[in-house]
Amino acid sequence: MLWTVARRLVIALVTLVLASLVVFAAVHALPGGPATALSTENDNPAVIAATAHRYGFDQPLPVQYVRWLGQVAHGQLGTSPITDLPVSTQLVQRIPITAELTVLSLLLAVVVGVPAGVAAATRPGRPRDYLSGAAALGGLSIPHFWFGIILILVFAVHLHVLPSGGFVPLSQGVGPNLLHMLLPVIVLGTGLAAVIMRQTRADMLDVLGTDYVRTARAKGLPEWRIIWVHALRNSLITVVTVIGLQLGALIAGIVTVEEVFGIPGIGQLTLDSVSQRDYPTLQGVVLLTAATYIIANLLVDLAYTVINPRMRTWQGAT
Amino acid sequence: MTATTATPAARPSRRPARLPLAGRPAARAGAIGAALVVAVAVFGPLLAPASPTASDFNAILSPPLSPHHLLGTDQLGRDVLSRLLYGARTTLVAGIASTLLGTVIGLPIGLVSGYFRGPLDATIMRVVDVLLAFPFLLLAVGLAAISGPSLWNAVLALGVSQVPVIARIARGSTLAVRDLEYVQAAIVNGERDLVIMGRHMLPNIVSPVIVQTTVAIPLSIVGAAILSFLGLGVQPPTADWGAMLAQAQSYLHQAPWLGVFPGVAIFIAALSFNLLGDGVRDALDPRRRP
Repeated sequence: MLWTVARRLVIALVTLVLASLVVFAAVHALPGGPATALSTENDNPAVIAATAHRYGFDQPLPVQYVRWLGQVAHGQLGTSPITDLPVSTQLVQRIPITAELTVLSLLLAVVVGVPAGVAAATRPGRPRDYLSGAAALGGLSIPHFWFGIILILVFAVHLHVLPSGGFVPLSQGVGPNLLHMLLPVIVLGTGLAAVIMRQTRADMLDVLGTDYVRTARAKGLPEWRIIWVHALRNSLITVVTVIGLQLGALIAGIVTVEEVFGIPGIGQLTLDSVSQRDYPTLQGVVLLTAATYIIANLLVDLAYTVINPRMRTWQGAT
Repeated sequence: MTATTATPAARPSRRPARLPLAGRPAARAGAIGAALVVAVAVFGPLLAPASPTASDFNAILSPPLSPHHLLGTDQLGRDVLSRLLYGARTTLVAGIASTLLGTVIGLPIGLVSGYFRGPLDATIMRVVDVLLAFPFLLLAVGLAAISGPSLWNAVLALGVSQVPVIARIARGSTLAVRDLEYVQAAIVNGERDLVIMGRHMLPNIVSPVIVQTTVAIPLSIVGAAILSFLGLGVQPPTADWGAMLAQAQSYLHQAPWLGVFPGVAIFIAALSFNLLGDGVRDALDPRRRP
C-alpha cells in the first residue's frame, strides 16, 4: 500500500516536472524567442534586446528554467502584456467559474449515469436496457460543442427560455447563476454520464451474477436493498475509475463548453492567450491545467487503491 | 476442467465461414455508415455542386432548399453542401492519420518493451505513464503556440496522445505470448530479436491493437473537430466540419442551419465508426461472440 502510494507520488512528480519543461520549452521554441513575441512588430532590435534583458531571456536556458521554477514555486507567474494584470490574479478570478462548471457536471453525470446503468443492468435485454444503451451511444457520439449549439438553438433562439451563454457570478444570486450554468452543465455532464452508464451496467451485470448476491437473495433481502446497497457498492469502484480515465476528455470538454457558451473560465483564458500570443498567461494556464490534471489523476489512483482492496495485493504484479 | 463439464465435441461446421459482422445489425449499420463517410471523403469533390470557397454574393445566408443551394449558404455565400462534402476529407484524414501515427509509434514501443522486459521495460513504461498523464488538448495548445495552428499539428497532438495507450496494449499482449513455446523455440533456434518480434510475435499480438485503433478512430474524428472548432486545427477558408461550426456560432439567430448540418455530419461519422468499432471488438474477442 505504502509502496503504491510512493510510486504514484513519484510518477506524479516526474510528470509535473516534465509538464513544466514542456511549457517552458514551448515558449522558448517560438520563432525569435519570447522577447520577440512580447515585442510589437515595430520594435527595433535594440528594444527587443532590452526586453530580453529585462525578463532575463538572454541568460542560458537551464538558468532561466531554474529561475522560472523558483518564481512559479512562489506563485509568481509573471504579468500579461495584453491585460497588464498579474497572471496569478487572472487565474484566481477564473478558477471558481471553471470549478463550478466541473463540479456540477460531474454531479449530473453521476446522478444520471449510475441509476441509468443500474436500471439497464437489472432488466438486461428489455426496452429500458436498449433505451439507455442507445442514449449512451448517442451521448458518446455527439460532440460536446455541437450538442451545445443545438441546445442554444432550441432553448435560447427558439423557445427563449434560457440564456444563450455568459456567466453570472454567485454573488449576484444563486438563481441567475444556475440558470446560466444549466445548459453548459447538461452538455458537459451527458458525455460523462454515457460513459458512467455503460460501465455501471457492465459491472452491475457481473456483480448480480456473483455468489454473494445469490446469498443475499437467499436470505430474503428485498431486491432494492440487494441492488442499491450490496451490488452497487462494488460498482462504485467503476465510477471512480471512469472519472479518472475521462479526465483528459473532461479538460477538452471544459474548454469547448466554455467557448460555446462564452463562460469566462480557465478554458476561455487558454484560447484567448493562444490567439493573442499572450505567452506568460498561456504558460500559467497550461501549468495550472497540467498540475490539476496530474493531482486529480493521483487522487483517483489513491482512491482506487483505498476502495478496492484487491488493488493493494497487486502492487508487485504491475 | 472436470469430466462432468465436458461437452460434446463441437460439430464440424459445413456452413461457409460467417462474415465477421454477420448477425450484428448495429455493427453492419456502422460499417455501411463508415463506408459512406469514406466514400464522401474520396469522391466528395466530384459530387459537390460548387467550389467550397466560391462565394455567391447574391445568395448570402440563403436557407436550405433554396435554388442552387440544397443546404443553403453561409455568411460569405458559400454553398454549405459543397463545404460539407469537401470537409469530410480533412475530418477523416485527421481521425485516421492520427490513429495511424499513434499505432506506428506505439506498437513497436510496446513490442520492444514486452519482449526485452527488465530495466528497459520498466523505463519505457514509466515514460508511457508520464505521457498517459498528459491531456491531448494541452499538447495541441502547445503545438499551436509554437508553430501556429494547422491540420498537421492537430494530427500530431491527437496521434502522440494515442501512443501510450497503444504501447500499453501491445506490451500486455507481448508479455502474454513471450513465454509461449513458439517464441522460445525461435529464441533457441538463434533467430534475431527483430525477426522474432516482427515475424513470430507481431501477428499474434496485433488483434487487440486493431480493436484499440477502431475504438480510437471515432474519438480522433471528434477530437479533430474539437481542435478545428477551437481554432487549433484546420484554418479557414479550408472547409472543415469543426471550423464550419465555429463560424456558424456568430450566425445562429439568422442562420440556424449553419449550426446543424456540420454537426450532423460529425455525429454520423463518429456514430458509424463507434458502431463499427464495437462490432470489430466483439468479433475479435471470442468471449463476446453470440
